[in-house]
Formats: sequence, C-alpha cells, structure tokens
Amino acid sequence: MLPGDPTFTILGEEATQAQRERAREELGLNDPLPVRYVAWLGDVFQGDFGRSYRTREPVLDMLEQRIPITLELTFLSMGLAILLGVPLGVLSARFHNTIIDVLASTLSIVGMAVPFFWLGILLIMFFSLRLGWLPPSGYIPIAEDPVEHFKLMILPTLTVGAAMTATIARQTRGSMLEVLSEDYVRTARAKGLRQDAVVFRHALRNALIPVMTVAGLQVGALLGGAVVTETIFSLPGLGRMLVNGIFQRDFPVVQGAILFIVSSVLLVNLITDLLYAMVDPRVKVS
Amino acid sequence: MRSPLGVIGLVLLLVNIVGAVGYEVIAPYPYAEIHPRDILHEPSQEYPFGTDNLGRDTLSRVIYGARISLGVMTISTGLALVVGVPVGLISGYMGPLADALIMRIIDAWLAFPALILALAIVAILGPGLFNTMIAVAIVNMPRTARLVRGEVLRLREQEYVTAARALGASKRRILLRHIYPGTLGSTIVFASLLASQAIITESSLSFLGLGAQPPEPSWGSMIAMGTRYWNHAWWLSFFPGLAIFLTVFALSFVGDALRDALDVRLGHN
Repeated sequence: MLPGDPTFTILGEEATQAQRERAREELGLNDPLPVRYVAWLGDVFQGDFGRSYRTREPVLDMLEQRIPITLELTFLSMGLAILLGVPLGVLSARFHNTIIDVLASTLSIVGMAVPFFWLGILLIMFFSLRLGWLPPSGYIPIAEDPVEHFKLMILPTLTVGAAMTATIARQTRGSMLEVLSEDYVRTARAKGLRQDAVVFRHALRNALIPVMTVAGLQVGALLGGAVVTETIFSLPGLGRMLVNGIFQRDFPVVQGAILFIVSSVLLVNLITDLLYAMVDPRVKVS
Repeated sequence: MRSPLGVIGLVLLLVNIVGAVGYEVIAPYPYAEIHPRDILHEPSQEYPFGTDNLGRDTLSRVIYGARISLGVMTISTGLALVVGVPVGLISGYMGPLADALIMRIIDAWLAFPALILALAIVAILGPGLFNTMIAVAIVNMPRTARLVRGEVLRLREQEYVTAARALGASKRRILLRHIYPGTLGSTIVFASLLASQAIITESSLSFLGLGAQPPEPSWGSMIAMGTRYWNHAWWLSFFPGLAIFLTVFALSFVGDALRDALDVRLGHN
C-alpha cells in the first residue's frame, strides 16, 4: 500500500536488480494493488497477518507481544483520567464560581492545550533528569520486576492521561452543573438534604452518563497518544511498531497495527453504546 | 469579543501571525545560520532561547516554525472546509439516499482516531510537510461535513425555510441563500477547533519525523531534536513546545469568545 520499494529495507542498497526482482516476486509486490489488498484481507480473516518484510517475523506474533504494553498504557491513562478528572469536575461544580472552580477550570484548559509529547519530555526533564525520582525511559516486563515496571509506566501514563483528565473534568463539571439545576435536585434539596448528599447521591449518577460517552470517544485519542508517547519513553508497544514500520516501508506491520487500533476503537464505541443503555434505563438499544 | 480571555487569545495569535509573516525582519538570525563557536549555548542576551547542536539560534527557528505551523494550519483547515462544507450541505439537504450514503462513508472515516488516520495517510503518501497538510485536511473533512449536515438538518425545519419553499424558491436557492448562511456561525467556531487540532497533528507528525524534514524547523521536529540533548540543553525542547502550547491555547480562547459572540452551540464533535 505504501510507496517506496521495500526491497531496499530487506536487501539493503547493494542488491542487484535481479535480486530485487526476485524478492518482489516472492512478496507478491508485483501484483496490482487491489489484488494484494484482497489477498491480505483474506489472509487476515484466517488469522494470518503476514510477515514483516524486514525481520520475517509473523505480524501476529509481533502484535501479541506489543498489544499488552499499549493496552496497559491506555488503561492506566484512562484510570488516571477517571480517578482524577471526575473528582476535579465534581469539585468545580460543587464550588461553582469560587476560586476552586477557577483553578480547576484553568488546569483543565491547560491540560487540553498542552501538546502531550512535549509534556512527556518536560516530565522526563523534571522528574528524571533534575530530581532523579523516576527512570527516564525503557521497559521492564511486569513479571521480571513489578516495582521497576510501574515506575517506568508512571511518566508515560501521566503523558497520555493528562489531556483526557482535563476533558473528563470539563465534561463532568458541565454536566454536573446541568443536572444540579434540574427539578429532582431541587426536590432533594427541598426535603432538607445536605448539599453533599444532593451532589454525590442524587446528581452525580446522572451527571456521569455523558461523561461515560466522552470517555468512550476518547479511547481513540488515547491510542493515538500512546503511539507517540511510546516513542518518547522507548516502550516497545504497538506505537513504536507502527512508526518503525512506516519508516521501514514494512507494509504488513503497518497494516496489522492499524487494523488492531481501528478495531479496538470500534469495539469500545459499541461497548459504550451498550453501557449507556444499561446505566440509563431511558435509553433503548434499537 | 468582549471576554478578556478572548482578547489574550487574539493577541497571542496576532504575535504568531506577525512572526510567521515577518520572519525575515524579526528573526535575529537566519534559521539555518550556523554559529560554530556557540554550540548548545544556553539562553542569553545574544540568544534569548539558546542555540542548538550546530549553534543555530533557537528563537529564530521558533519564529520560522510559526510560519510552518500557521501555514499547515491555514491550508489544511481551508481544504477541510472547502470539501467538508459542500458535502455536509448536500448530505443534509439532498434527500435521504445521498444522506445515508455520505453518512456511512463518514462514519467509517471517523472510526480512525485522528492521529492514527494522519499516520496512515502519511504512510501512504510518504513523509513530508505537504503530505502532512493533506493528511490533516483528510482527517478533518468528515468532521466538518458532519457538523454542517447537523446544522442543515436543524435549519431546514425552520419556518423561514418553509416560507421560502412556499414562495417557490428552488432547492438550490434555498440551500445556498437561506440555509448555508445559517451554518456559517458554527462552522467558524468549529474551524478554530480544527485549526488547533491541525497544529497538534502537524507537530506530532513532525515530532515523529514524518512531517517537516530537516533543515526546515517545525516546532514538532525541534522538540524531537531537543530530546537528544535533554540532559544539558533543556531550552531546545522547551521553547518550541511552549510555542505550540500558547498557539493552541490562543485558538481555544478565540474559539470560546467566537462561540459566545456568535451564540452557537456545538454538539459533541
């Protein structure tokens, strides 16, 4: 699918024209594009993602090794965003128009405008190089050394999760304010409930429904963020695989990685829709 | 434009534009000029943002980077609008068949996360600044079309449109004279969102080495270059990143101010 002759990455610059031609024939590169695409798609349905042009390693094996790392980063970031973003948004709404609200809102605007790869580099420069608290980059499997593993994941998680934390905080604040002005909340207040009981027991539940949708929609952005972040922190995940694949014109690798990312986004969207119906009985799945 | 944040955003944006247009006049040095005696010089009076591994002035390179970023932003956003707006108008007004067809294509398109789609397109077209612009435009087209379609669906039910139809106005006339102007407000506000997304996507691609190619200094590629010296030259990554941050910040403030001024509500997009 990509331009550029992959035989250069496979055989190097020195190979003869005949060698190149033979390699092209073996890889099926001489077939027209639609033929190659259909052949690839057919193979994928049978669980065969092809082999890397460069290393001859099956793409499926590469995916199996790398997907857990990217998924871990994505889940950690999402966890961070929810655990931090929701309380921040609730606080903002609870103390609407006070200094707390202004601070939290400013923080979330900053979080959304910060280019995440720059944030990652700033975090490394500050926490690793200046303070020496955390290792700057690298990867150690969890089975080998769980403590080091999570130490290495802290900065990448902050990097990927910052923007989503901000988005969730802003969404939570918005929908909390909306819900707090509804009639049933006024009823709850009228019967003499304390403000905190109203906020947490009555309003929050309904306010979280749109937040859930936004969180679901953000998964794509998280995966995109993970791709870039992995290259900063030298995490051997899907992102590194994809970016290296693009540079090396290693088509099967690029196609496999993108196929996985897009399928997971679709899956998450579906799950979000179903959850929506579960959490809010007013929504019917048609 | 009465909000103070909107004014701050506008000023920041103007500074950006002045830098991009007036680089030749404003920049203290040509961006590619090498100063062998001042390699990795820290910020000083002579070099306010320091110098890089070849002794090139970071400030001049950041100013030139504004030209690249704003260029990519303007062209890709313009392109997204030029294609997205008509498609949205057609989808919203030309009947259920066209609408269903267009919307299914757009849905499929939107299944790709923005950055992943941009990566995929640059993978197909090859690295480079021009291809980055195309990629960003392609990413933003369906979003624009969907927004405009939503606006058309809302406006076509308005009474003044019914009135125009009763007066015998043609479909084409109704769409272009009566509905299209009504979509402009939200489109303008949405454009500010697309613009900041364009900046982020371009700099991400350049950061990965797929956008602007050396020696042209894009903010993203400057940050990437800086990571090689992050132990002893923090300024190399810091200032270009700050430029991206402030630009995106400015665009979102201006967008918010425009939203208030034009009184439009955007759906989840």
